[in-house]
Amino acid sequence: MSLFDYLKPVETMASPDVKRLLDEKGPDGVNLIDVRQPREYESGHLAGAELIPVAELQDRLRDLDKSKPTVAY
Amino acid sequence: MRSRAAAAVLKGAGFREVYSMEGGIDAWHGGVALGSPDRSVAYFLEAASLDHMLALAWSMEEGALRFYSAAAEKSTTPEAETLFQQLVTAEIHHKASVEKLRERLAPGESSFDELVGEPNLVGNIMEGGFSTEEIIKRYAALDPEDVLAFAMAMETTSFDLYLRLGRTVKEDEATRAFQSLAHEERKHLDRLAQAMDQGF
Repeated sequence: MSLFDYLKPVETMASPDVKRLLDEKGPDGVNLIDVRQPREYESGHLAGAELIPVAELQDRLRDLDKSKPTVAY
Repeated sequence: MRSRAAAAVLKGAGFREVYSMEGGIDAWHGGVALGSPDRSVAYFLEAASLDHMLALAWSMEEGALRFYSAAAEKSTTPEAETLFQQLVTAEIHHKASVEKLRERLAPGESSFDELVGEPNLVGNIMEGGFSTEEIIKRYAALDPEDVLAFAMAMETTSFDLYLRLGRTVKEDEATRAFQSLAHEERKHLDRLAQAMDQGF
């Protein structure tokens, strides 16, 4: 990725809306990604979230379905 | 900040609908699941036989059952007692459906009791927090809000694990069973959250 990707506007979603999205699409209809470090994940994460520390994201993009809505936290 | 960076990476990689959750996990009202990082759990699940996955589910239900029984016994209001008693009944049903699933898909010689052993696996799953046994021991010193908070963490952990079991298991029947158990744990979570909001 280029540096300019960081400058692209990123949409944010408030947590109640994330909850609604998960209810509506079902837990397997959304990529829910925890981008923190394993230690943080261990002390509490959202149910069904996949741990992909931000530094590893680029290498693990293949694990994710691009067609699903994706929420990162 | 990290999630914004991650969202930017995903956008750049061609993901169409990407959001960064505002306020991160601190802004989440509801339970959070405790436990090992995804990869080790996923690794365990991939390496595990169906029998082990079922044993894991069974021991989780057993832990929840013991916890809710203790909570019902020690509750100080009729509302609390009713709630915990209903959860005891629900977990008994869950245990039975896991047992039935095993009978159909992976009948074995040993009972779940023998397979799981003591201390049960729940303690390991919840290594980030307390095991149910520990919590039950400390129960006298906990106020009702702590009990509800622990119950929510426990249900979220179960919900989380059933979602993963449903994704990992190969047999369709087991996938459906785990999905439906996940759905029920999610409902328990809502009821506990409601009790927490109303106070009792």
